[in-house]
Amino acid sequence: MQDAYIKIWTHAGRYQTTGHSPMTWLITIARNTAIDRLRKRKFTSDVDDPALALASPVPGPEALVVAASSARKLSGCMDTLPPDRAAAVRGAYLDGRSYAELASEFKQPLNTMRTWLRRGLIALRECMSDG
Amino acid sequence: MADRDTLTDEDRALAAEYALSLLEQDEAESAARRMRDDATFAAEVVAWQRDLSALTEDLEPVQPSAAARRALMARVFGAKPASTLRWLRPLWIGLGAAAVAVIAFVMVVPDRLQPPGPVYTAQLTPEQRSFVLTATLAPETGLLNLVRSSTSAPPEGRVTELWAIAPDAAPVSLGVVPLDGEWQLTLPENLRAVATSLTLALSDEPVGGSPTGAPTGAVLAAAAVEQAL
Repeated sequence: MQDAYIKIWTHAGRYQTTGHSPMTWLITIARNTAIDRLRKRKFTSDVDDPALALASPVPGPEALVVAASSARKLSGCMDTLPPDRAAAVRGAYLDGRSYAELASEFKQPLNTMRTWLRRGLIALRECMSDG
Repeated sequence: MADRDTLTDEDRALAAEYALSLLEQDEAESAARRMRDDATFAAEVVAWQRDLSALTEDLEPVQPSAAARRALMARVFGAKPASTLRWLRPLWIGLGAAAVAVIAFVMVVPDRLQPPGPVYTAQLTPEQRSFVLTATLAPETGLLNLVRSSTSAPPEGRVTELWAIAPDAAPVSLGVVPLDGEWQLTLPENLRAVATSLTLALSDEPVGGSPTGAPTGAVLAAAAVEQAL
């Protein structure tokens, strides 16, 4: 947690270039930092993450409203997924599960797990872009 | 968003897997390279990060411990060595290996003896949300860190000026502020004693700042500083 705060403090000046809302920016850094710690890995996808360093214009009020409504939409779309796929997406996002961990949790071969979750994610994206 | 249509389902799933940190290191690195070259793919990753962050809304907030706060403040502002202990250090150095544990303890002690002071913040944003200014204040040192991000510029010939207002006192100018960026300033001596009860305000002024030394234009936003950590 401290590492995440330190990164946020050190790189606060960079947030405005990401096109993220402040909360998404904070959440993404905190999550990436936690996952790095969890997996004790060197490759960091946090503030050096190109997604967090994109030179896109600062979102105007309109873009922020769009972002807020699409976030609200997510929970509705999660409910349209089969419950175990929704649980796998939550497990990956909130608990930082890897494919190997998800496979053992859902008692599936690794490749099946991956195909299965990817299908869930595509369905989720389709639901999000509808209407 | 016509650009999105150029992505295949495969691409979108890959972007989602990247956002979920599900990719193996080599796959993740190649996805990161692609994001640098392919703005549409990068936008898809950003969209996933934004959308998935909504999942955190169901989480129960947890208050970090006071010890974590102290350790964090020491890391951010630097631990001040306690002067009463500093003179003892040469003695310990002579004591050899057996003293290592003691020295390690002493290195930690200063944080506990002199915890870095509290931090106050204020966020100023006008109703139209045309900018956000975040002020972080360390009352002990009077150091004020300011970050401003604007989505639109003020009218031609107008600027924004920052004011510090102590209770029952006239606003004191802290200068004209840039549209975007981060900068630091130190509060004037006479405001430091009342630093924790200051209100910060932004007013619309002619180029060069208020000619009278007091706000002359509309107050765009104002907020009292509040203890954050």
